[in-house]
Amino acid sequence: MTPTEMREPTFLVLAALADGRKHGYALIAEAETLSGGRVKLKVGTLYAALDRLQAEGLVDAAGEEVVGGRNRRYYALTDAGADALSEEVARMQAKAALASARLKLRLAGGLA
Amino acid sequence: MTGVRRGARERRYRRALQFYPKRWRDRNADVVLSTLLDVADAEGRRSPRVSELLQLAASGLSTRLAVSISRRTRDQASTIAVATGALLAIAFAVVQGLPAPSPLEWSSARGFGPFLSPAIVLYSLWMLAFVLVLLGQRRAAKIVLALCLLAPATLWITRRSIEGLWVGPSLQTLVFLTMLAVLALLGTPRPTRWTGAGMLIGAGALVIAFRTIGAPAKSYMDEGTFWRLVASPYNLGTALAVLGVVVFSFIIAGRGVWSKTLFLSFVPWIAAWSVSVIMQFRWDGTAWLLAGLLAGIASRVLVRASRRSRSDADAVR
Repeated sequence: MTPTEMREPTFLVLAALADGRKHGYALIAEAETLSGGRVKLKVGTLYAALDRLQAEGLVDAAGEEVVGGRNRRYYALTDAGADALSEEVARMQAKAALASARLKLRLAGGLA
Repeated sequence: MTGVRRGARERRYRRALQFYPKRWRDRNADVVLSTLLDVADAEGRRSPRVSELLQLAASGLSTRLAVSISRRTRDQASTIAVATGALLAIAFAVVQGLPAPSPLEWSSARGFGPFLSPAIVLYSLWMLAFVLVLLGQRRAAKIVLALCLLAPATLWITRRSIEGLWVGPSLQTLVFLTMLAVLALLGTPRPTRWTGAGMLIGAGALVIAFRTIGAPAKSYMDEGTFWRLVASPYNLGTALAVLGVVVFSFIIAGRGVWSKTLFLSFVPWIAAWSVSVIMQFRWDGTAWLLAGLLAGIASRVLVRASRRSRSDADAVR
């Protein structure tokens, strides 16, 4: 995984898979929930991201089943995917901590 | 919902999935279709949204492209295209003079505001795209590059409708920058720490070459001078032949990605060279020979791509 910042759809897909395998529609719904309703992944975007993440070894297919006449393929996070997600979360936390510290400085400057 | 309506909805989705390559469809079409239907059901829709179909078409075409040209190759070609576009934009803008020299006493043309040519709009877009790429603003850069793709045709149409009022840009420049924009949009530009410096050195070298080789025309030079003198059909044809040997060497050396990148990067130059040759020789035998040669190469590439696609599909079965 390159050290460049992860794009939001990628982050949301990986985060949606963090607690277990999911199929396409469940991933779209979970990504919407995780983003507070802000991001609704298009189906084409989702499967393009899944293709790429599979090629990078971050996600793997985890079984298929037919439910109500519809084919569902499940996807799961690989160990490399979990590591990449952890790194991104750590990066986001570091940025948030930095921003928080700056805000505290601003507040202290304003009070002085 | 009736079975007929459900069938029509499914058929429209399946039709949109035809944009994906066959090999991809064999593996994924049923799964993707099920997700599309799940989403439509959840939203209570009886038919696909137009935006959904357009997005599937774009994604499918992008997947087709990825099958024939790897992402790394496209990204490298895209980076070279953005740097080349900015390089020429700076060189042309400097050489032509900003703003215009004393109001075009040698011509009946009016100029474009304080500038000599409306090409300044196109050059500014390329410079802006390059700066955005260097700043890592990929989304904004793509939007500006999309404008770089549309601007040449718009300038050409506008210029033809007000013949004689503007100087340039030349057809070679417009064709070249259009092809560069296509290349730039095929991938994601990923500049290294040397990209900015390399582009500025290249632009400086080009301005010097422009001034030196174009010395006889020193009183006034437009960007068309570049295609007539610096990158004349003879000079550019020789350079392309030499670079062709380099690509061949890369292929022999097993450097597939770089040979493809270089070949893709040649395409705008080949297009500009073709326009120059056709303009110089008009539609005489040479131009027809060139057109036939290019058509032959294009057919050969298409046939090979088609065969490769079929063999990929066979491999999956």
